[in-house]
Amino acid sequence: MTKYVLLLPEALVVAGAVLILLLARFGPSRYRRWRTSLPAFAVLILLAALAVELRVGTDVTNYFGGALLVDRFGLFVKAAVLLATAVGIAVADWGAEDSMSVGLAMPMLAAFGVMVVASGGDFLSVWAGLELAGAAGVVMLATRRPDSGLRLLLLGAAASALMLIGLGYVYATTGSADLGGVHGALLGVAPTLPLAVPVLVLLGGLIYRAAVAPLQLGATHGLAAPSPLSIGLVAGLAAAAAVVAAVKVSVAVGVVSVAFSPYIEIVAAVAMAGGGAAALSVRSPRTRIAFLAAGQTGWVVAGLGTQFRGGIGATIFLLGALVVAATAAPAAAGAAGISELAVSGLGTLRPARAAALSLAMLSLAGAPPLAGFFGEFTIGAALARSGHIELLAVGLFGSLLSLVAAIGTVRVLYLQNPPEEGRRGLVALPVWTRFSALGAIALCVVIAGYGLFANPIFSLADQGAEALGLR
Amino acid sequence: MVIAPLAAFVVAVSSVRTRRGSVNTAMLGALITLAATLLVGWGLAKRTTGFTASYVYLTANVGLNGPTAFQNFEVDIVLHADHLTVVALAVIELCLIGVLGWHRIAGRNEPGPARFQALISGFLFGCVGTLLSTDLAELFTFWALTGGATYLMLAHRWGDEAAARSGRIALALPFLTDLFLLCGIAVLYSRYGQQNLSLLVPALHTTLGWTVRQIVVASVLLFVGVAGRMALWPLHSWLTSTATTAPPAASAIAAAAWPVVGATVMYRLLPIFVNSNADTLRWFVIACGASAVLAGLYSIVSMEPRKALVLAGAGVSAVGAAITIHGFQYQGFTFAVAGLACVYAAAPARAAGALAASNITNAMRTIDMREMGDAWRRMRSSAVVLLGVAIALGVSAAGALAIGVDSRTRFGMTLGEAVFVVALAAMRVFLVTSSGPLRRRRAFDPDRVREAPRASLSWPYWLVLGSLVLAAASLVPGWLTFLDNGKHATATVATYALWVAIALAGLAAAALPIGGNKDGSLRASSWLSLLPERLESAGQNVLGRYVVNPAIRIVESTERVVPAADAAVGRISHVSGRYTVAALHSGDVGVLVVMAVLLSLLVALLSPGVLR
Amino acid sequence: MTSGILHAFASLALPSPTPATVPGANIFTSAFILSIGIWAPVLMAFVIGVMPNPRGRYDTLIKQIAFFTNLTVLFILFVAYNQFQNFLPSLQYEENRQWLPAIGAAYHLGVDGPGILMVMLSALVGIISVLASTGIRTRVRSYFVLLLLAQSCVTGAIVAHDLFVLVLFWSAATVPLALLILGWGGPRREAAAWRLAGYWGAGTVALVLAVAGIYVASGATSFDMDVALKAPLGARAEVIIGLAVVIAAATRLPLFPLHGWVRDVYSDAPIGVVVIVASSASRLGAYVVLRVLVAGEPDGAKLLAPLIAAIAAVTVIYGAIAALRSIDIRHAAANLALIPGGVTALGLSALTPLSITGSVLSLFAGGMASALVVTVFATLSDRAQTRNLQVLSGLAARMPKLAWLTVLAGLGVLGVPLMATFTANEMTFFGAFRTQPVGAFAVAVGLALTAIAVAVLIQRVLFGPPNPDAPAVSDSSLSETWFLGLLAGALLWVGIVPGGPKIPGTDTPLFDPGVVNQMVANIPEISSPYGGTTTP
Repeated sequence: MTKYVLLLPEALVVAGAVLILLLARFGPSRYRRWRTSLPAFAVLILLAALAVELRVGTDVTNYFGGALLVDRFGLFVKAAVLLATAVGIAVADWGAEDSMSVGLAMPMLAAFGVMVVASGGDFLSVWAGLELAGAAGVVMLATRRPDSGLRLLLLGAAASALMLIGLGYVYATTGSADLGGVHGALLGVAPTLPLAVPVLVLLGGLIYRAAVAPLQLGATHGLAAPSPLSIGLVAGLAAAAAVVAAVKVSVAVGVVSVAFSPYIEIVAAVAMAGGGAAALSVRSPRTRIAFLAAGQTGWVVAGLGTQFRGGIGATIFLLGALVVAATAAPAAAGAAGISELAVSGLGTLRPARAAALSLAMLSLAGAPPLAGFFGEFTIGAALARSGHIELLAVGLFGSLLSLVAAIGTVRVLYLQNPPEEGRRGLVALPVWTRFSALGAIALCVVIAGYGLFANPIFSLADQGAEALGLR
Repeated sequence: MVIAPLAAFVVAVSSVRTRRGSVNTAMLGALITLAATLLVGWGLAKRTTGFTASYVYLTANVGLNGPTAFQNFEVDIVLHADHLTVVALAVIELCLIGVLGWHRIAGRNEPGPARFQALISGFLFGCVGTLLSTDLAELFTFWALTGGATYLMLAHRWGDEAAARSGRIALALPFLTDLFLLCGIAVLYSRYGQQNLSLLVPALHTTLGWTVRQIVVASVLLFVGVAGRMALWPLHSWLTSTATTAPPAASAIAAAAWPVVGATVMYRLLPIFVNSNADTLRWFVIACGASAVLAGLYSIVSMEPRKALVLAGAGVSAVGAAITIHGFQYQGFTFAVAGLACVYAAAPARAAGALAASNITNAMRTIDMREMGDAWRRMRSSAVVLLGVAIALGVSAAGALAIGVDSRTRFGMTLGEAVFVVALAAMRVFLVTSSGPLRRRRAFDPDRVREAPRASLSWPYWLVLGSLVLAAASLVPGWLTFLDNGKHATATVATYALWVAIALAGLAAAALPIGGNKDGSLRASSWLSLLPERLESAGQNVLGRYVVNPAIRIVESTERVVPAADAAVGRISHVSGRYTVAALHSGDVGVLVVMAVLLSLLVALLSPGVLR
Repeated sequence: MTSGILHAFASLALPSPTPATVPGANIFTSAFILSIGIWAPVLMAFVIGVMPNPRGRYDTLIKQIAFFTNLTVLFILFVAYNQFQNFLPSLQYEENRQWLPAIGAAYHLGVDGPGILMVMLSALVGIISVLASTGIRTRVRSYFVLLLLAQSCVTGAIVAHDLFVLVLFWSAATVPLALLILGWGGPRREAAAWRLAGYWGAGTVALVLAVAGIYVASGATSFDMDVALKAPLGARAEVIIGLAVVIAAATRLPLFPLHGWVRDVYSDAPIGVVVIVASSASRLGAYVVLRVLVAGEPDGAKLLAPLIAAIAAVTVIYGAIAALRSIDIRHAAANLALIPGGVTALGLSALTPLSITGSVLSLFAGGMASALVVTVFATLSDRAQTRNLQVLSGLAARMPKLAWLTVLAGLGVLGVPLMATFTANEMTFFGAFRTQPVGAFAVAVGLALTAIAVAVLIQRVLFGPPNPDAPAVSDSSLSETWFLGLLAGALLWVGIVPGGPKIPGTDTPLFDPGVVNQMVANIPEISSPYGGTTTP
């Protein structure tokens, strides 16, 4: 029985999400009065889950015949995702969200999805978790922009189709749907075309989901853009789910990495350089965040190419930084994030929020000494070790573009005077609440402290990579 | 000796504002320095070795391995005063005092008096430091300081565009030759790791891996560096071009003091030249001889009195330099110092010439000798000074030539020719300005011509007198013995007479054409003067067309291209970003198509029979 | 944590265990002195950032906080400089804590001779930049926060002894500086800021690639300079890495042809920012060449020497001619500011013990001279209300103080005697003639052109005929005189007593042990691979 305590975090998150949805649907009329404290409740649940995770997650075990594993990899990813979701919800501008219940429940479900992927032991659980996270994103998007939701659904489905085909063929070739089993079966097997193609397709689906979906999202802007939190969900949590899955699968089929590493390199290069360039060319902070996140996801994908413990450790390390910044940054910008004009002078009007937004964007751009810089630097070291200097060069170039873009927004936040209310138009400033200010400060602390405590965090990520069976 | 002019400079810069106060400060500084110099000279009178004071300016241990000489870098302030230094300094200070005395009255309309007088004190400080230095780095430091002060004095009339332009030449050319000096010192240091002359010279042939070529290169660089500041032809243009635009006091000081400094420094560097090889020395001698003759000829065709006198003086300096270097050519010859005596003798005369000639040009409101004349009647004292200058310049070399040069050799012939031409040129200035009618011109009435203020007139006299005394002294072996503590052969009276006669012949030769047909001879020389002017302008055109303008064009186009290029890079990044975004807008369909293709490919590849 | 801080402050007063060999050295030291130099400004920036400032009521207080922070840091770092043991080749005030042991990155700080010199430069520049910023009226809080951050980034890059820390601070400096220019710059601030970010970013890319190359080639175990730079890499690797380092340096110092940011930044950045950029921040370029290439990769340095010498010569000649042709006085100053960097690069290319020493001194002297020439012309153009050289004329009489400072600035760039730049140039030339005679001569010719450019500028602007149509002119304010005077004073001080003043009749230093004495520590070790190649 005590063994099942290890599932408590997942249980807490799901229960919390379901409870919030039920309250919204069937809650008593008095519910409206304490409705405003729902975010605090959600954050409390998430932090409780995080605490439990950190307390008991250090054990190692498995459930359902290996379908779910509890190991250091899972511990790291779950901790990162819970933290990201908590901070994202805390800092969210509820004036800009369509429905508080959905806005609270979906991120929690997405987080649950990532947790499932992180601890998934076989193809089925990985796929299930991935779909759950993706679905949460679709729901969230569709509440305001059905077309965006539909497009994401379509792309997600297409990517899943690719994945499933790949999974199917891998299963057919190795005779095992269990990640460990696949790894064992492939040991000593020469990479043949029939083996390489499905792996390629499988990873293609995953990476497409990870890197391209946020880009897709960045392409949708304007007044009727999706709500901030939904962008954070898709660019942060859903992408993280796909990356985590990609990490697990790529490690499992690592022995045939020759078959897919060129593909990974191309995708990474495109995402890093394209994300940076795109971020440079758009003005809307929210869109910029999406592109910056895509660029940093490219770094993470590049890390997948290094099939050794340090490299994957660095990948997970950066993933932690990415998921926090990418989930929380759009939420921090709030409704004002749709245009530069709307956020100009935010530094004087909403200091905490502006600081959080600036730090998150700079971190996504890889500016020192923030979380993203440390992650990208460790991945850079790993890339250099594995001889991918050219990929490192492309990444640095992309980071340079991202940095310029981020500086552009920071300048608008701090160095421009706020417009008069008339010119601000329909866009309202983010609502100030003590809770959201605390959330913003927490986000600043996390992003600035990530580097300060890089050693313990990285060693945990390193143990996570080790748990995946890498040496 | 060093502190007095420095103090005068600091005081003048920091606290003196009025013209009179600044003149007094500079004069006081010069007088105190002269007193100190004479004091040291008195102390040295009974000694054969000089006084030395040494301070470490900076020392740094820079290396662990390699030749030990290069493991430590040290710049010492070594002040060494011997007889030669004292005399050279005394000459310079006398010139300075004379010029200051003249400037106090005649130069009262110069702008920025405080600045000007401060610069004169700075100049004196630099001269003293240069002449007292035996450490080459220290020497160059003071040399550069003096050069800077010289430029600022010559370009003092900033408000006047012409003065500024010619001032630039006075900056560029000597600065370039100074860089030759620096490079020469650097080459020596880079080979021997020594800057102290007393240690460097013995090491020239004993240091491992020394080659003659290195010493030749260093010698040539040092020689050009010194010659530039001595204003030897053809490196004279920084003096001639400023002669008409700079304050007369400034050009007088530069023309008088720099040859003394340069010749003395060259004398100190000659042991290095000697260690190169005989050919190099011979070429130096030939260069100086040719320079002397050409300077004289150039002076003859020059139409501006001050330029003409500067060139004549350059001829004397070249003669002195030639004799000095010649004296080092063969072991045992001891007359090298006579060359210096010649240069020292000419120095005050050059200062006086500059002052008197500027008196005359100012009074006659022209810089063209064709429009001058009749100074003997209207400006007697200035005319007399010019006559004295001519005589002094003519005879100043006689003593040195007598004991140093055999009149029957080709070298002797050349220098004799030089002396003749120089005397002729100097005398020409006197005759042209003093004789003949002073014609009426538009807005110029000859009867208005007045002599310069009386109080200023005596100073040029004293300078000429000093020059004649020094020239006479240079005939006395005892004087030379005092200068270098060496024994000196005395020439026969006939030899002295011969060389003096050559000078006098030159002086007389000037009288013939001008006495005969002044205007005709001036027309002839002005026609001849076109040739060097044309050559000069042609040279400048070539330089401009093939060096200056292309360089400027390249720089200007780069100034345009670089910003354009990086702006283009920035734009390209933006555009590529826009394309990315656009591609994403219409990306879905493409993605689906690609997936369809992939699927069909898969099915085709993996269907039974295709592979396996 | 708290106890650590307490210990840090307690340890400030701890007498050192080792006896001092040079009178007065190492009596008073601290285990955290460099960290204080880096993080004190950051801490105060945070304080300024969060302190309430309703409608700019406390703007003056903010300026005072920034000033006294810098004054304290200057004092502490001067103590470090004063107590530095120049007879030890080893790293001093060393701090070494694990940061990312998994990839071999550590928080490793320490200074040797060149390091302590650069630290002093940075500290001096810090206080000068605050003095130069007293005229800031808008968004004072943000300005001084960014200024303090920029300053600590520069100091961090100087004292870093781990390539990871070096990259961190090196690249971090760009963000605050770009924001400062964007927020408080002149009419062309956009171009200036983006050029700065672009060029410096490109330099960062090059530096990171070089660091990655060193890391891999040295076994991918550590970023510590003691490990990574000591490993033999082979000539080919060293050349490739060296090339990247040279590119990084050329974007910072800057050297031709990567100098594109200079004109806009020096002519449109606020003066307080120009001080930092032109002196300490840009000298980092040469400093990293010294640290990584010259000290770390001797084979690469030898093979790349001709290239660097050529770049140095072109830079100096180009700067001089461009200054001569400029019609905007601030553009002219920006071009003149290129010249000391060229001399530094020449010294680093010549690779003789003396030339390396000269270039180290010219890090300080050149930094000060560049900052002085740019800021003095900036102040002059502000006071004369125009930047056009056709309008500016005959100002000496109407702005005597600025006139003197302008003359000193010109002479400083030129390197005339009694200026620190003269000593630096002299050492550099004397050292360079052994191995790079052509380059040295070309640079000398460039200096001759510089002399003409300076003379033309001074003649036209100060002593030319006064222009009746020019706008009204005023002399420099008190704070301007102070910060310009500090720059000029530092140049003169080091130029007149490079060995420091001594108690008369003794060898005991008075209060300044002498820049030359302190900076040479460890230079013999750095130059040891090149000492043997000096037989005539």
